[in-house]
Amino acid sequence: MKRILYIFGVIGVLALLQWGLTAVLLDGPVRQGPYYYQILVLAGINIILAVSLNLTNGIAGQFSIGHAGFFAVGAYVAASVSYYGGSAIRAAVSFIPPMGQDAVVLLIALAAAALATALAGLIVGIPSLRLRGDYLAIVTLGFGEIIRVLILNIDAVGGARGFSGIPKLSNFFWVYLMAVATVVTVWNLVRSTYGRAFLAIRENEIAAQAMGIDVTRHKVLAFVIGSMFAGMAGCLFGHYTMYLHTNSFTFVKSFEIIIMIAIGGLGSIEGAVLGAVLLTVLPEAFRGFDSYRMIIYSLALILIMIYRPQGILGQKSLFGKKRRKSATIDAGPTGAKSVAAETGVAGKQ
Amino acid sequence: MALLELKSATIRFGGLLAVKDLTFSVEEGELFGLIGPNGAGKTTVFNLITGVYAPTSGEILFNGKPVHGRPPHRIAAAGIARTFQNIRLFTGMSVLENVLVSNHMHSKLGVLGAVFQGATYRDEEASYREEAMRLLELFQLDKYADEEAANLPYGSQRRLEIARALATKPRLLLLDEPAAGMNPQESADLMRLIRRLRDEFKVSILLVEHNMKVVMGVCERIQVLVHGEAIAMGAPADIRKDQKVIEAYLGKE
Amino acid sequence: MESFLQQLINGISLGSIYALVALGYTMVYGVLRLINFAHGDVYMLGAYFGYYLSRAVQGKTPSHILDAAVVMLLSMIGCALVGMVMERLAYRPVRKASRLTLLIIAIGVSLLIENAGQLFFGADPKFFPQLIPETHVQMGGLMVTNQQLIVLFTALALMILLNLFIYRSRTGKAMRAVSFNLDAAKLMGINTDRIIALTFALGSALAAAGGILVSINIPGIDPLMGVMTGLKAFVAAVLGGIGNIFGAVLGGLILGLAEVMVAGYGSSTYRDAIAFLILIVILLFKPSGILGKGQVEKV
Repeated sequence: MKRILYIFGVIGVLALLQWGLTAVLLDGPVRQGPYYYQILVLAGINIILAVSLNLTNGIAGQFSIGHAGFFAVGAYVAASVSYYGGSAIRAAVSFIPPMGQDAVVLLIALAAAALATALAGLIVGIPSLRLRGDYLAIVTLGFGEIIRVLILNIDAVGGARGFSGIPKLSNFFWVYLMAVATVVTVWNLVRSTYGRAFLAIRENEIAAQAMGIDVTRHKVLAFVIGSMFAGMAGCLFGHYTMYLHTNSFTFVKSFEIIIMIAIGGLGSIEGAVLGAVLLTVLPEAFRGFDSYRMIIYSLALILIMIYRPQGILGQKSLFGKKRRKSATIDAGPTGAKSVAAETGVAGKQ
Repeated sequence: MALLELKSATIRFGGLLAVKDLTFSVEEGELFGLIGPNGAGKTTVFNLITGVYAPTSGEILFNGKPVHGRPPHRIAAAGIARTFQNIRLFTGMSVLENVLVSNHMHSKLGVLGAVFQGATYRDEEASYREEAMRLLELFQLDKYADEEAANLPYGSQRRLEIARALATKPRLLLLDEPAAGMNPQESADLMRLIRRLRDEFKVSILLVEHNMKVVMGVCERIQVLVHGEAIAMGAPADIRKDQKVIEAYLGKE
Repeated sequence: MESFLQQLINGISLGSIYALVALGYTMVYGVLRLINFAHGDVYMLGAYFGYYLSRAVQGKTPSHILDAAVVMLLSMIGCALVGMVMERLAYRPVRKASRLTLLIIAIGVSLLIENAGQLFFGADPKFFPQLIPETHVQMGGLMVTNQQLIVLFTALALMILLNLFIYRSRTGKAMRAVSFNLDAAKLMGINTDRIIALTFALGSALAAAGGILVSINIPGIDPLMGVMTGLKAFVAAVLGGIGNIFGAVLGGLILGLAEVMVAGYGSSTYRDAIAFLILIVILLFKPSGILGKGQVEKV
């Protein structure tokens, strides 16, 4: 019951924000309002991408640099659904008002995107059975590029011309609803036995197996869930920009998402959100110094990684219990005294 | 019926015959020792039993059912848990989380259940935490529950590995050199702990150990392995007197 | 048949460029276990250094070949310096960091060079001056250009030189030792910092050579030319078995041939995908690459 209230609360707040933002930014007095609105929406999409990649890369430890590929699959599949099937869906639900019809079309497109990318994730996840580390990374990158080239050759989705004429169905409301859903899903997963299984695989595969975890199945699962959300982000992206081109889905986009989670702190959900927002907003803020912007940006990335490799937030949790990193415990095997004191296990029977 | 039975288990790595025609069995509730000089193949035997390797030939039965060739997680689910010679904790996770990992294979929740976290989730999670804390208390690790496992002192790390293995509720516990790097006081404590585990958790324990005092003091039966072959088997007192064993350890006169 | 042979030559020629760049990836990976994503950008710098040097040098030496040789040598030295600076400033401070940190820094360095390149060289493509006038050479029924032959033989010569250096010289031996086990090499008294810097220098010089050779064949250069080539060269290195010198050459040739054949007989739009397709297929059957040795984790 409480849960349903929460859900309606979130929907209500987002709807209210949507109404307010439309009034102030889109139709309102703010100069460049639509531009700010767009940054906001893109930040939301990047949040979905970063948090979902964080599940695969940061939490399950399966280093993927092909996230943009899943993003692309979702975007194109969803756009095809609403472009080619939109009118049929509308006709089927013609008894509800047009706004409701929009929502139905978008939801069906979202579901299709989720399904298609989950399947794609499964296909890409299979090689992770045998590959690890750098090899896995480069294979995911390869898959991402193959997907892009394939799309480039499908004429029904515009090929090299790009896919235009996609209906504008997505907005702040939908993007942030999905972003909240993504964060809550990953958040809850991490705090369940599944999350601990993922972490265990990241920390030590052999020990994880010995604890009864089907390593292969869970690696693939992490891949599938991660890519599914990327696909849904793709759906919302395409239905916001109304135009898709494969140039938005190169491995540079994958790098960008990795940088988001690295800057925020790998494995930290709050970090991924922060990284996504920073990496959307900062480049825009520096637009004035256009030619130096990307140079500053890459320099900042290098410096952050050299001087603060755990990211801005590191493993810290903003809301959850903070982990004590006490320096009082001597971790060395030579701390003879403390070891002796420690091992009196069976002493008091 | 024996809990664990090895029947002519053999494994070959290329030209190397690491374990040859090994047959022994561990009874329910038994403390069983596996000893031998360095390179005798003791850890390989562990890896065979736990499914890290599949035997080239021969059979391994657990509880009367063949388990050889099964993947490690299935064997763990069947009720065999182990520790590792070179400690393999989940170092980036907390001490409590290390123990909680064991619950995953017993959990009835699917992915959706884990995401929506209904009543089943809350009940399960609460009982897991309670059980895990009890286990940590027994191992005197409860005060470190939220500490990252990597920050524990060496002795505590070894104990955490045993606690983590026990958390899977095994019927057979494989301990790979638990006394390595411990001083006499610590190993004496460890011996008491091992006996206590057998009694309280009703597990059989198969022990690989170099520390003869620990092996002789704890085990009821001992299997001696040299170059992958069984050379002797019996009670500690017999093993101590066995001419072949003495030769294997000290060399021939 | 003739057209097939023609494609074969084009493929080998492209493949030898990939091989030159792949060597740098594989050498750096060998010593640091780092995928130096910026390596492709060093290749781009090599082409640009060549471009500016050509304008300064051209016609100042007695022959075209000498012009080209001077340009190439100076550009290789320039890129070797860039490689060393890159290693010293970006990678050395984090040598003990996690692989992921290293990888992200490499991505950062790559972005930095690309964007600095766009700022200093301009984003528009430049036309690489023709150092050696093109002439056609008849070989049997086959028409090849002298430039193709130059590319082929220079690449071959550089690879032979590298091989001699690595397997015959003392420093090469030290390099192999570092690649085998960095810590042990350090304990044996090898100055590992120096060896690592040298590895970067050598790899970068080879990439520069690749950049110039490719520009002799296809004269359009731009600041992002290293992105795809770098990626494919890396794929070539993985394909052959990363860390393995012969593997890099083999992988480069396979990739070059496959690409040219696909473009020639299939659709050229699939050209960029074929490299990755081959990679995935090979890794699925042999995860450590064609010549790589598998690593098994000891339990």
